[in-house]
Amino acid sequence: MQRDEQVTFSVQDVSVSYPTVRGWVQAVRNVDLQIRKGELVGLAGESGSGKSTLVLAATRVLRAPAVKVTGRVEIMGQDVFAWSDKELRAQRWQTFSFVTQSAMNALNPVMRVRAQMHDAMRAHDANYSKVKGDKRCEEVLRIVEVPAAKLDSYPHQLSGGQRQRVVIALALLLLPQLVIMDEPTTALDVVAQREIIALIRRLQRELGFAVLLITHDLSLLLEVADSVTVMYGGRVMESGTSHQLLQGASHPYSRALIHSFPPLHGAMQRQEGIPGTPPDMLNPPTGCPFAARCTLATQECSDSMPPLMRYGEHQVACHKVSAADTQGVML
Amino acid sequence: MSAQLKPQRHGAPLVIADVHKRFTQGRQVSHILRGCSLTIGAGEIVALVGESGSGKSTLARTIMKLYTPDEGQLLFAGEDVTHAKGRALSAYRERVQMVFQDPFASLNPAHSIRTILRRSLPPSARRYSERQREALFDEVLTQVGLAPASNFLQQFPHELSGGQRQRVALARSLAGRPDLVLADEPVSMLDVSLRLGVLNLMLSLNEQYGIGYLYITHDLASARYVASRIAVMYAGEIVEEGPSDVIVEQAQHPYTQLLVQAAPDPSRRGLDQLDESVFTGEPPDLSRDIQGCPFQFRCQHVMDQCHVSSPPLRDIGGGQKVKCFLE
Amino acid sequence: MSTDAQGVAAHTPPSPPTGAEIKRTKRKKSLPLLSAFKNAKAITGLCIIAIFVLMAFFAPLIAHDNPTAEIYALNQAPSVTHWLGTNSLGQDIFSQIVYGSRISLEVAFAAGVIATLISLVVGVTAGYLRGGVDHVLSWITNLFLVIPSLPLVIVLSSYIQFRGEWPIIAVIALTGWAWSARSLRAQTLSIRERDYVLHARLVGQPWWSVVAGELLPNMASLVLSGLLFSMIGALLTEAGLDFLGLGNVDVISWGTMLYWAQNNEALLNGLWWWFIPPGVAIALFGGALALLNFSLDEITNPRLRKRKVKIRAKG
Repeated sequence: MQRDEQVTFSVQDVSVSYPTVRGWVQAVRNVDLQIRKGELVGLAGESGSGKSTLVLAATRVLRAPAVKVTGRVEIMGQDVFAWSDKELRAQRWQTFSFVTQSAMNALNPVMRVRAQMHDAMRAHDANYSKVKGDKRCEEVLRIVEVPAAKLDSYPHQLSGGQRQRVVIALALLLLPQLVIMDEPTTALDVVAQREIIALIRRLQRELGFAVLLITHDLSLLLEVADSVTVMYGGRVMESGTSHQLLQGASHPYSRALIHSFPPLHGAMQRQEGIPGTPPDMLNPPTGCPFAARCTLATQECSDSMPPLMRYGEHQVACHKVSAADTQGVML
Repeated sequence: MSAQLKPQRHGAPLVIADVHKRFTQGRQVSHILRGCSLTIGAGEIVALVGESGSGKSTLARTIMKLYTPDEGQLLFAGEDVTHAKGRALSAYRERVQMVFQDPFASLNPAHSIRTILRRSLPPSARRYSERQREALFDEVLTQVGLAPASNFLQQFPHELSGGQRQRVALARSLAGRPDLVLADEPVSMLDVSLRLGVLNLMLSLNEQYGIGYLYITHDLASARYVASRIAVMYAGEIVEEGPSDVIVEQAQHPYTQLLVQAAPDPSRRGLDQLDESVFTGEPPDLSRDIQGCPFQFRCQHVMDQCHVSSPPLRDIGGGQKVKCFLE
Repeated sequence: MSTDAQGVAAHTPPSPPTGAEIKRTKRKKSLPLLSAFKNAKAITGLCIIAIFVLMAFFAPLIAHDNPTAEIYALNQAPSVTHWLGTNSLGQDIFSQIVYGSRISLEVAFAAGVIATLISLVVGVTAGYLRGGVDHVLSWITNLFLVIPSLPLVIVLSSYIQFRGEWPIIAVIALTGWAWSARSLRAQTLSIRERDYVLHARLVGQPWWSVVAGELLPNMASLVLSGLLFSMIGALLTEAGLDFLGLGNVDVISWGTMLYWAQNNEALLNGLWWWFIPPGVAIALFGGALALLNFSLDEITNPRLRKRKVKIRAKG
């Protein structure tokens, strides 16, 4: 794999499994993912697709022996798994940071905002000083448009939207190159969601960091992300630029997922979701994990996992899709 | 077999007229419902769309008579149920049921599905023989797509997926042959691919049994999909209502327009960027008295009038009503 | 249904998984009781408890000697004729242990059950009804929590004339219910707000059906745990009271054995077979109850069954 200076985050053939009472669960299998400088990349999938596990394992938040990880992960060209614990701690928050699900509950309820920010800086910034820290706190609140006075408040004294912004501010404290957001807007209303997404994009333009946005809301990703990767049953089903996927997503799962969102405008017609339920990751099916629910599946699909075929930036893992299909010819 | 069970009704209308509800905590009085009016026709599906904090859950609970309105009326099938108690209340609750948001919390984890269904039977059905009950359970589970019923009846909630649990929730409300079901965000906690299945189920139960629905959601797209009419709620008031397509395409109220713009729309990609500055502000603090229109603090078209008095609900034809001073 | 190039009929989308399919991938639902028999801690605890219960029940068949008869040779070490030897008064210690278990078990079970019942009624009522009722009941609970129980028990015992065990059972139960009541109240408050409880109320379940049918099954683990805890406490308190001489010293129980052993300076005289057996009996029985307590959560919640998983720890 050519090492591109512009590549911020690179996941190469990563598999993650973890032990349970009933055996090893293969949560992620052979996933490739690339994020370039300043990009907004979306990772879409439903519960059980492995998207959160992938990211948590790749950033060593989940560790052995709780998980077993194979493959290579690079951040800014450095091998993540080669870092010692000390280096990892230094890289965390400086190079990459997190905004987690239910961000509003991620703040410590008994610590003031200022204290939490100092806590993060002290843990990860080798050059931390209280004075510099204070200055940074004010700067970072300013860019997320929260009044500086709120630094001395407790989380419960902030409104829901402000708490969300504070968590984003926390993630930006040390100006990382990559911010990973795991379902940051899932619990929010559509207007609040739109606000947060607008804020993130504005900050990206100003500060130039890359964003990995993990969510089940594929329609949102198609609107705002530069490229999207769709996961199912621990594997990548399809990935490409939003434009390519909009023109003609080729994988049956991506297509079905896109059609699971009723459109706001246009003709009203009855749509079907996807019948069935996600696969059992304890005994993942041989072959394509989506075969059991796929309208196009044949015996071949159940027997062997389709390889990820690359058509330029557009990649699809499906036996039923040929090169012609990805040029926008609908199946 | 089902001929011996209660016959299917064809729905009954629910009228909510100028309902107010206040909550007191110490010295603070929060005016949560500030004059809500809405009509759900017999066998109609109406969507109630709003942000969290708009009061939609409180309205649902008031309709279920968990709260009694401080002002205003609730009329069901022509009868005033605002202060119903005792037998009248039981009869009302038999005909108006609720489906909850969280599939993991709405079914008792210690009960089998059979027990859950049995305990959900309305008082009038409690004198059924065991055979009639089993037939009823079989029927409702099959109707919601959980067939063969015999396999599901002995399972426990934790053995079912989220989508299946919501189907059980719909099945248990179906068992009572209700006229109206309040569905409080029934699919927002489900996986995307399962949502349409549940929504389609609601549609088919509506077609087949004439059950009306009040579908509460913050997702305008699914509201349009399921409902024939949409009511938009903001800060304890219903600010606009009308046929679904009209609301989406020709929204008159600035808040509705905001909702329409905020909804994810992949087809917008590549066109002019959204003016993202409109998405600011928060819903007002309902513990303080608001003079004038509650949307005044966020409205792009705010006028002097809006600070002074609250606009009336105007009928602008085509079944559409708006609460706004703008023409 | 279309066919692809090879003429094989394309797969039609399957209907949502039927119950049969689900059964295949999930383990069979097992009854809580049956699973108790698979849990090592529970088995051990239950066995030991069973041994003591049988011993108490069939005491006359097991111990041939009269425990109070002072007719034997004094201070005999354990031997074939006297399995646990004799004490300074000429009594057979083995039969004392066997008959003495009756008192200890009776008090432990009875006081434990009564205390649990009180805590259940107080705690669940307070948590379910809330408001004024809760204020009053909580105040009472806190009062009993604050009162130092052992001194209170000692004082009460000194005043009560003893006719049988029931006064002591009552006293122990009355001083021991408060802690469980608090935790039951807390859990009731939490469960009460769940959607399924709300639904039960909406469909017209009467309050007692809501409490018994919806709340209690989900509190089983806490109630059982409280029961076992109370039983252990009752056992130890009773033994303590007897040891201090506040019980009826003429009745044989494990605690009174220790009292008499102490009074006759058994330790100084090296008569270990007098005071060790009752101590061991108390410890064993209490320990068995504790073991059962530890295994409880795993039994009542099928999702928490533990099984050993071998993991090779690698970086």
